[in-house]
Amino acid sequence: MLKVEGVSKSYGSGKIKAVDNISFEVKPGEIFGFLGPNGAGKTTTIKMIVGLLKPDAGTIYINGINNQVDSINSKRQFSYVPDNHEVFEKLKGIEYLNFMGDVYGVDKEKRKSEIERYLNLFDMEKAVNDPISSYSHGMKQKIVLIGALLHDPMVFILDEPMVGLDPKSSYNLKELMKKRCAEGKSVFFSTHVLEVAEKICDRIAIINKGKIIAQGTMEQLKGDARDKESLEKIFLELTEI
Amino acid sequence: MKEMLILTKTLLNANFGFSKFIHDAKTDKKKLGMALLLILVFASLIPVYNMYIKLLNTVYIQLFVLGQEGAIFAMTFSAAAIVVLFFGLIYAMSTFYFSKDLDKLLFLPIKEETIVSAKFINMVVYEYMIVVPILAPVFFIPFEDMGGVLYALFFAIGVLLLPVIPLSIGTVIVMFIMKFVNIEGKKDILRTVSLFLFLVIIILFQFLVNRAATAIPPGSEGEYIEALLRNQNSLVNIVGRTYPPAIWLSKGLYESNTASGIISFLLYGAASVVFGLGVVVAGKKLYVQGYFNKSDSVKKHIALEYDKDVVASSPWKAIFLNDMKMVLRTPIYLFNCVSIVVIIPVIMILMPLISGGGELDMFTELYRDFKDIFTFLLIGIFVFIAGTNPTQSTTVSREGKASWVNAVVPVSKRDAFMGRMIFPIILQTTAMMFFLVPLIFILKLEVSTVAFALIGGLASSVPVIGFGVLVDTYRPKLDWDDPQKAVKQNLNVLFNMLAAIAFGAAMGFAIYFLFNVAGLSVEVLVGILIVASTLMTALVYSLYNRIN
Repeated sequence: MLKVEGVSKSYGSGKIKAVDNISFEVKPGEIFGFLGPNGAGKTTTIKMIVGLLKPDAGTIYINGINNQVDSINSKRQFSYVPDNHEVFEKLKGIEYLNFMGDVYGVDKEKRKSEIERYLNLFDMEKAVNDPISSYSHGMKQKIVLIGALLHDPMVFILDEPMVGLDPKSSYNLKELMKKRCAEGKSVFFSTHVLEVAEKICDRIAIINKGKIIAQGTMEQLKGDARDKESLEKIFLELTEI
Repeated sequence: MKEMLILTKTLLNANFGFSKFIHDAKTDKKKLGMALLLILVFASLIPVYNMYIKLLNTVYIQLFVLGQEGAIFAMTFSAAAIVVLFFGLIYAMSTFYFSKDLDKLLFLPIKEETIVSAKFINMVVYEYMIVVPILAPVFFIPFEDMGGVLYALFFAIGVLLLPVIPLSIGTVIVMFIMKFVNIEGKKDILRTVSLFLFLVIIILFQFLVNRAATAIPPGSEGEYIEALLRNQNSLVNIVGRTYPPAIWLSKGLYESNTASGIISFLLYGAASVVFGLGVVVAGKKLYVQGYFNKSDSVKKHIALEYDKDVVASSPWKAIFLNDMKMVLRTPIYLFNCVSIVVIIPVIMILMPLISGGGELDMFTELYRDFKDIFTFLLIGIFVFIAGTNPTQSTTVSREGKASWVNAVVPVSKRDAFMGRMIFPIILQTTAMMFFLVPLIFILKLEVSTVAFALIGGLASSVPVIGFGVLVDTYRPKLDWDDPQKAVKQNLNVLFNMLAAIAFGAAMGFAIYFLFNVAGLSVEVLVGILIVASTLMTALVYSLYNRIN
């Protein structure tokens, strides 16, 4: 469903290698966690997947579509929630949701039911008619989440989704991720919260200094470690090399 | 004092992005190319600057002959002060109200007056970029006649203090407007409209004062000239009437060696200090206290009506509406992008009309004798107006950190291009109407002139607007903390203007040739213009399509 093959990206005229020849695949019905310390290359990788950055080398397929060859079609396959939740501050929440519905071509009836459903789920009905500039950090994150879910994407890509969410919304989001995967869709997200990754991810990749240093199911990662330990210990052990 | 210096230094660094530039230049040599390009753009302005210096020289020689050489200071310093006041109003609004950095400063152990002072000094330093180029030649031209240590010292201090008084006036006015014009829901628009109205009043007031101050009663021209010749530098008082501190500074400069000159200069310095302190006091009372009394912290939610509020439109329309709402709802964009539509026609048409000078008759005659050329002149002006409007050349930049949204959504290039073109085209059409409607009455324009100017002007504005969208999509300025920077510190606006001038000049030459040499009619030439503009738009669009 999401396939990253030999992707690299450098900054500063090639001096700093942010992502170095990485490959992984997220299968249908899978929640895939992407872990790594600060500056490891997580956000750069995600930005290449969603089309915000162009890879120097390698290919990325989203639902079988090469995102460099047919970018518009590939963009229809996923939706993205970034780690910064800056959206058009001068719009009202509902205007932003309408905008997202328009650009993804969601018809009015489906839009109405989806907006109602997610506003309820994330407790945003009261605030949705207010300007986004009046929202708190968490509310902005929720409006971005709702906007991203309107067109019911096959691949749901999130960068640090749990940061800033209240416990109830965080729980609801995790449940939503599981439900989507049960329907055969995929979720790919980066996180620093290892407990979340340990609990809900089917598979995990750990990136450090631009390279993927481990990937597999929790069991496989534990198998690689010296003794059967927590993800936190595995993470620390691997990234301190 | 120390903390004020530290804060001022930090704010200056953040505002001008010195550290970021040095870091970028060290890590990515490509960024240096941009700096070189900027130097090149400024270098291209040297001939214009040279003309300005020559003009000053001529004016000085003429004043010298009349024994009025001191008036050169009063003229230039009061002109610079008015420019500072004009830009200062907008800049004060941005520095104190739209930059939102007070949130990051108020919890620090820094006195409130220090914050206000540091922000104000930042504005003063920023204004040096306008003031120094205007005034630097004025130092050298009279140097031979008046030069000396005190002259040099007074001049340097005079220039450094020059922005203080007009900026203080501007800042306090803005603080008053922001404090008292505060109606729930319509706050931003009302504030912008008040500021805009105030600007118009200043321009008109300034203009009327200027006219009254320099007008000579009919029949007394001889006496006037005699008085001028009798009293050395009496012209300073007349010219300086529009801005009295300029009189003190002028006297300080041309009489720098006398006690009266030194006293005048000290008066100027003292006035600047008093005004500067006034800002600190007003800042504490109106600005910082205003922050704590924000009335918009408590508000009512409006319930969503699904049938009415959930609406669907096509992608290009969604992009257009988003673009337009952002401009109309952000005061600084409303001011820079929309008000220009009214300001330019007002300045270009109403000013000569109010002044009642000979310009009006000249244009009426020009129109009567050269109708066709006048039509093309109008089209040329419209192309220039299109190029100076920053709406299209900041369309992506204005989105700032939210620009990721439009980058990840599946919108075709065609829809994106169309969506971003429409609002600037609406603004351009409005500007043309604001320009043409008064001219219809003043110059009694014929229907054919109006129709050709409108059609030709709109057609040739489209590629200029398209170029603005293209250049801002290619190199948007997204890294800003204050929305003003997306427009005011955005080189794309300058590139768009230069492109408009180049396009206008090329079309102008072609039309001149085809009209005079080949003898083609206006109808045919407007047709050619439409074809050429369509081809240029197609070229711009094909380049836009190639941007990743």
